[in-house]
Amino acid sequence: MIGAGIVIVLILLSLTAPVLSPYDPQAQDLSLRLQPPSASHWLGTDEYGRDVLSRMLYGGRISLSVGFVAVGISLLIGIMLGAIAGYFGGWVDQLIMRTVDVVLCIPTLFLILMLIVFLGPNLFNIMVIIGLTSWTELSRLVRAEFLSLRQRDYIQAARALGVPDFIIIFKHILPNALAPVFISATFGIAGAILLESGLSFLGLGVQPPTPSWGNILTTGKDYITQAWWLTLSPGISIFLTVLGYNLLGDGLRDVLDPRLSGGEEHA
Amino acid sequence: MADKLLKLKGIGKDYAIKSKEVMRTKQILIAVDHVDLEITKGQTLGLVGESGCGKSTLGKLICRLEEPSRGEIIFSGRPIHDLKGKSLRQIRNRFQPVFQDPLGSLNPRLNVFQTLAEPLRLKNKPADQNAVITLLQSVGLGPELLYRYAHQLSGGQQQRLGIARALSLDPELIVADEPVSSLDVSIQAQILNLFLELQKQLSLTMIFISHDLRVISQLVDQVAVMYVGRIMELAPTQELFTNPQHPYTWALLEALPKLEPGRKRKRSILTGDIPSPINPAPGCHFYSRCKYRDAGCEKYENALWQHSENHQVACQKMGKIKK
Repeated sequence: MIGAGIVIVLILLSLTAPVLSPYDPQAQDLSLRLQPPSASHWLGTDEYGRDVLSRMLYGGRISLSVGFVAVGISLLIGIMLGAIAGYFGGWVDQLIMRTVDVVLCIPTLFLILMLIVFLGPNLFNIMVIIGLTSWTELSRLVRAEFLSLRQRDYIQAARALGVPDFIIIFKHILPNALAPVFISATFGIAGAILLESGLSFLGLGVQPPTPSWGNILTTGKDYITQAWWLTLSPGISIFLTVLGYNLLGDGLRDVLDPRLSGGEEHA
Repeated sequence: MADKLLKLKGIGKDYAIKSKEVMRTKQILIAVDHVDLEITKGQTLGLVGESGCGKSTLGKLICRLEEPSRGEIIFSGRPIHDLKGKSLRQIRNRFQPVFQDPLGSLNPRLNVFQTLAEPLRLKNKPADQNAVITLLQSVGLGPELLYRYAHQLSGGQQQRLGIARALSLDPELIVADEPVSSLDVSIQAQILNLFLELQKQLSLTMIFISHDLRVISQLVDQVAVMYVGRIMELAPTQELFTNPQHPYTWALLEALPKLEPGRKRKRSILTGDIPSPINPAPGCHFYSRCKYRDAGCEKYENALWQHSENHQVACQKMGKIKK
């Protein structure tokens, strides 16, 4: 469970950022511009003399909240539409899946860039837009799970008992379909974080002076020959976060399937 | 004449097969072709046939788990084949299936209590521990299993739980699809005895689907022999074993292993292939494997003929051929 460890550490660091940060992430001190890592500034300072460690910690909060909120939105949409399509089939399924095809045809990054230009680059918009553009894969996954689970005998048994469709979907099928969905969602968090970093890197994400890993990286690239620590810190952070969520996704698969977990009694 | 609990009139189920070719010729698999059946209240009917003959599909049609393509299902006087939504859900408690794979028929995320409490609650019956324990005891399970999950139960226990779930709604009809074929022989006997007991206690009407004539013979009053979507012979169990009339039934009965050491048995082993249920040829479905066939069989669509009271045979040469 290395993945879970990394993710938990990252979440804790973000939650406790105000306590842990040695400096105000916005406080400038031009006499201390581009200082290399030292005892007083563990990760050095940036071009305005701000403490990189503090900015990294605060930036982490942004990354994580973008990851969670965006994936939360796409889970909500993806599960609802996928469940309806997979369970009911027929023309409902056709309608939803063709909509998915259409959405998939639109280049995501282009769509996001356009929406941000229209709606303005702020944190809320970015989270919602990433969420609204990344549900297609989840809905396909949920639909596929529902299609196969719907044929299982225990679902047939529930139908035969006269259990209402709504309860069959949420109580009987969904919990058994969630394992792959959660796994995909953890990968989705990694993707959303990457996307946010990319947008911030392009200057269309979180706007300075609010720190995010993406915009720290952007400013860092201008000084890459003089101040390697400015690009290395966010780079490694993004790398570790994505790795952490991917490992977590793998780990979750083992835990979420009761038949695969060991140590249980088989009569 | 006792009242009929269930009547099937010309019931059938087709599946469209999607072909991958560009020029699509529509392929239709006729799983159940045209079945007429009647079951009297309190009776047990066995449905036997080879794998793929449509007996499971017929069971699902009766339980309304599949939509019939044609025909009528009349359950205690009321047509149920076109019920939908809420009205269908409300009548479902009167007929319940028992499945072949006991583990697969139980939700892996629900424990025994949850599995049985749900239907009780649906029927507005008390769904507390005591109610569930009473239900468990009625199928010979103890209260210690209450919080076990399906995979922590043995195969026999799983099937008993499946039966308990079916009984939880006080159904009048149980459709058991190969309920013992995935169990050990010793446990098969226990489960079959349980069915017999329950049937007597609760005066249930039951349909047993099986490929195993021996299982059926122990259990049911009447046997229907199915072949490629059609019923070939329908007779009281004793009659079917002692006085079978259809060449396919002869072959089935002769295929049963018998303990008669040293005696060579005359066996009419079936030759030829089972005809495909996809776009079947007109005429008797058993035509391709029947050694008594003649020209008339090609025009005969296996309509059931009355042989004697309660004994129907789908062979146009009935009575004219001998084993």
